[in-house]
Amino acid sequence: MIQEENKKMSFIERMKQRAVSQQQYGGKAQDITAGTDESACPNCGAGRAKQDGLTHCAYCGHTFNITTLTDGHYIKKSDNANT
Amino acid sequence: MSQNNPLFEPIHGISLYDYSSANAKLANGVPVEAICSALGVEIPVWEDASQGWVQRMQEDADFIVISEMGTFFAQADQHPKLGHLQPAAGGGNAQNLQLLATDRYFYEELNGARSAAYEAGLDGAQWIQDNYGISLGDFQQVAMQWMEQQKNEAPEEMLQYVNHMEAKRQEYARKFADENGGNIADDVDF
Amino acid sequence: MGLFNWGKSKEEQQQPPAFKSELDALENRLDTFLAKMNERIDILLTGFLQEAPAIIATDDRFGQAYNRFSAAMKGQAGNMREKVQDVSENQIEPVYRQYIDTVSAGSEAYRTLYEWRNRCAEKVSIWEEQLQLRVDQATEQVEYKDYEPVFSEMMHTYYEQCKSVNCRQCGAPLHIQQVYYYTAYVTCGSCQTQNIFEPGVIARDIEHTARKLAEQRSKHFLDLSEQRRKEENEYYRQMHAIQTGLTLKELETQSGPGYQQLLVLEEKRLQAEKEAPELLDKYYRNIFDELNKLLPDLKEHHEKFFVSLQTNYQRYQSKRSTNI
Repeated sequence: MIQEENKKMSFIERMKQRAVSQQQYGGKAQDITAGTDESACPNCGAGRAKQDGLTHCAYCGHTFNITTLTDGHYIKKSDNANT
Repeated sequence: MSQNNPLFEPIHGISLYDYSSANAKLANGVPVEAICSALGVEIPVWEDASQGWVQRMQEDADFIVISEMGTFFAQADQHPKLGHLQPAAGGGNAQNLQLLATDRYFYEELNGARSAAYEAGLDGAQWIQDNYGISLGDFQQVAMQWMEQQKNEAPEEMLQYVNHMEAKRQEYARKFADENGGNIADDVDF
Repeated sequence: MGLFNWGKSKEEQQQPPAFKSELDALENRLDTFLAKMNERIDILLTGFLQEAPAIIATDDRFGQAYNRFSAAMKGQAGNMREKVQDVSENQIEPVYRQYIDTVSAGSEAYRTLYEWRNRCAEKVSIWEEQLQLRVDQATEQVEYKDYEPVFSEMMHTYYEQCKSVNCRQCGAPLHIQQVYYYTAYVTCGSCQTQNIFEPGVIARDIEHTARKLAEQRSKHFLDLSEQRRKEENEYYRQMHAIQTGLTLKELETQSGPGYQQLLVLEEKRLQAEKEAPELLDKYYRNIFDELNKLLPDLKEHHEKFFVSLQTNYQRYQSKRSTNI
């Protein structure tokens, strides 16, 4: 009976091994901490000021976003560049 | 139906078709940067729009947005800006994908195999990727196409497919169990 | 028993039917089989409860290894359920069908066979219910988490991380004062430059965790609602039992002690039936009140989400008609 028990505990062991050892779809979840990404104009390198809006570079006219911004959660209509 | 309904208004110029196709591509392993560049927006704009679409689906008691999303999802490859995007690893096994889209029995077999894989503690989506070279996004796209077809199927026909899937599920369940030393109660007899 | 056989039909006085010993043997085998299956459930669930905490402790933030482990456990439970179903369909039912046409309806043999089949079916269904209950309990036990400390820890870590986030242009601290659930443009207070702020994975999980916490804080309403629903069912069952025992006179005149009892029960039943959905409403309302407290910037969305959810669960609420 004890042997039988051990044999079955090894079933659980096998079940565990299968669950932890496998590769999962999309790979392992990455751990990203808070930080900033590059936001300077990729064309002329200028920084972007709040009053210049989010759609175009105020210096060289480079397009950051070709669409027209509407009222979302963080981004609002008023973030469209005036030019 | 989507005309004149504020629930379908694009968010930051990103329509539900854009959003659905982008999700199909993301599920296929296309990086978010490639999606944004094809749509001509930066990541914060894409994410603000995505969040907006999720919220609209949650706020829509009649599920019309989610249902439209399903239809659009299946048409991702025809999307003018996103349709051509492929993951860096390549488009997968085109022959198997073609078979999945044309042979209902093959599609049902993989559905059954996927269920059996999950029930055996395997990652079903990864199993299909490994064995048939079909990504999750492609699989879901084809699933949406079959679901459209199902609407016109007679009950007997549908039952036939369900039975096929169930038989395959059991067949694969046996295979996956044998690969891992059997089921816990295989030796208990009546 | 000889004395009391007087006046009974000849068939009923007969010895137990020939198949009686076969039925007894089969029923014994079923008992043994189910007992052996129970031992395997013990092994499966003991192992699950033992191993799950270690898997959870080293898992990724989506808990994917645990999800596979738990799916495998449920898969095994399903496999056992299929095995028991198979015995019921292929070992018990055929014997019943084999003999049922050989005995006359209402005879002792018929009753023996019929009761045997019901008893076996009942044993199988109790076994299945127990299995489900034990799987659910084990899952609940393993997955239970107090979300209060989890949530405050997440908020704390997020704001700690934010302290070292500076403007890309001038280097001044960005002074992040709110939770950003995903990437956003954040203006530097010193030089007005737009930064692209990536809040990190913790912030991306906050909304989901807040929901779990809000559900946890509201759970007592859900439990009460469930309890009322069960009570309603129980009153209905008791009423049904009394109704079948009423005399014709009691039924016709709608009076008498039995009928009075019925009225008392109906009143209690109606009360429970009324309260169950009210408590469910309180549960959902409370979730969204809590969410508004936890994530006040999402209040407008929460309110719309609540209305949509409420529309849906109310669609499936119905009332019983008892006709008394």
